[in-house]
Amino acid sequence: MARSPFEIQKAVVFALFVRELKTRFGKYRMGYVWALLEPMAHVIVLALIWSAMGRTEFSGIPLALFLATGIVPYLFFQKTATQCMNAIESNRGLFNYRQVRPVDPVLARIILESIVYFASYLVLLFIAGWFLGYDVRIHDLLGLIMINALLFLLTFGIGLTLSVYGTLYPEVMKLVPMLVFRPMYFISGILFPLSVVPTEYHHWLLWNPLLHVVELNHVYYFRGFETGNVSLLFVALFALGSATFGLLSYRGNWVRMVST
Amino acid sequence: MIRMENVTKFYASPKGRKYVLRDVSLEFPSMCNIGILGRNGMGKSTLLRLLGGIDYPNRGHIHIDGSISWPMGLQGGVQGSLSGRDNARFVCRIFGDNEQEVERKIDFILEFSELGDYFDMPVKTYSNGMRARLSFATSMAFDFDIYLMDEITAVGDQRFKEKSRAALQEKKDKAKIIKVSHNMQELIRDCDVGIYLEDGNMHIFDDIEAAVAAYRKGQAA
Repeated sequence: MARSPFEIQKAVVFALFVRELKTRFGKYRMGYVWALLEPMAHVIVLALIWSAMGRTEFSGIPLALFLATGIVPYLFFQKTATQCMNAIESNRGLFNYRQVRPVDPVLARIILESIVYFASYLVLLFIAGWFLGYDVRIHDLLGLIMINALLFLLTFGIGLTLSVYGTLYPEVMKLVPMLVFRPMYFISGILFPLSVVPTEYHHWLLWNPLLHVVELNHVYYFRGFETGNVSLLFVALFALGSATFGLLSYRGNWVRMVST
Repeated sequence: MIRMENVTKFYASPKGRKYVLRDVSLEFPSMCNIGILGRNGMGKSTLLRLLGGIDYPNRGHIHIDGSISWPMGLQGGVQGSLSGRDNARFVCRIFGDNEQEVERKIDFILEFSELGDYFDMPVKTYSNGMRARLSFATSMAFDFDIYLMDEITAVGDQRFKEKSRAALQEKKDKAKIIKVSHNMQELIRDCDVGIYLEDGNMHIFDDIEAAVAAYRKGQAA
């Protein structure tokens, strides 16, 4: 029964995917609902804070919609990157089977998180449109698909890179969430849009690719969304660069990741 | 057939490299049951991991013809938070079985392992003996040319030991085993050829008894 490497990898990623589903959602009753509650909790808390301060909209976009369409992509990135970083350690025992290579649990987690992302995006918009009466029509669907395809590539690159260096240097696993992810929550355009920041500071903030991703999500979703000097090209280059770097790092280190 | 070509394997330690294998080139005798002996820390389990393709030599190559099992042992290979059934399913799936085959093997594994209701409980609640039964039963659901065993038959109660010996005996007509154990009687009974690991070298003895004698001499020294 000689199988091609692709067939083997497909079988392994599928098996790991099912395993991830079971461990992520199997533990709790209504486990799938929890996946939705997290972005909703962020939206609700932030909406409460902003309305307490008297804000109801950003460039004409209702607060809740503005928050939801930024938080969901941002959380996808952050959660997936963290999940990828821990993917090797939490599947250690399964490398006992030589079919399982370190990239496989990383791929399985990215696929799972992407499905959760897509589903929670749709459900949140459905709730906003159907029950809360917001106008949830999308201004530029193709643009929205494009920026999220780039977000997927970016997340893959960063996630794979973190899985390699997080496994080889455990310090990375401690420091990245604290020093990178936490501050990024505040400066990635999900709490407030770039347009409310004075222009002279834009060139500092715009080094952050996630700010571009979130702003462009808003730009394509809403007609007439005000933004700064954001660039699809910057996101594309950053995504390609990180994917290249991630693949190179993996290629050079995967044996060290599994050998003892 | 297993052939090692200039295989070197070492671990980095604060006191320099600790060699498990140092430039070893040899061919394993084919169609024999092989017992691996050596003192603690001489790299018996590492050798099994190298043969099983889940660890890699620092230099050199290992060529293997035929199918080879994963190293069956107490550690690794299971996900504690999942049930025995889900763990067994995982193994069947990565070997490319379709869902029908998976369920057929699951029935076999449930029957063979005698885990009963525990089969649907998380593996972390299992005793060592139950883990060994699950691991052993899972590997028996597949037909490998070579089975790698890391002291696995040493656990489980007497009855299960008898049963697994019978199952292996049945397989042994087609398949061979490579086994690590500290139990000399067991090695002498189950194996034909012995490999003695000592300070980075592998000595092959055509007779397991001679390997055991070498091991005993090493112990005494």
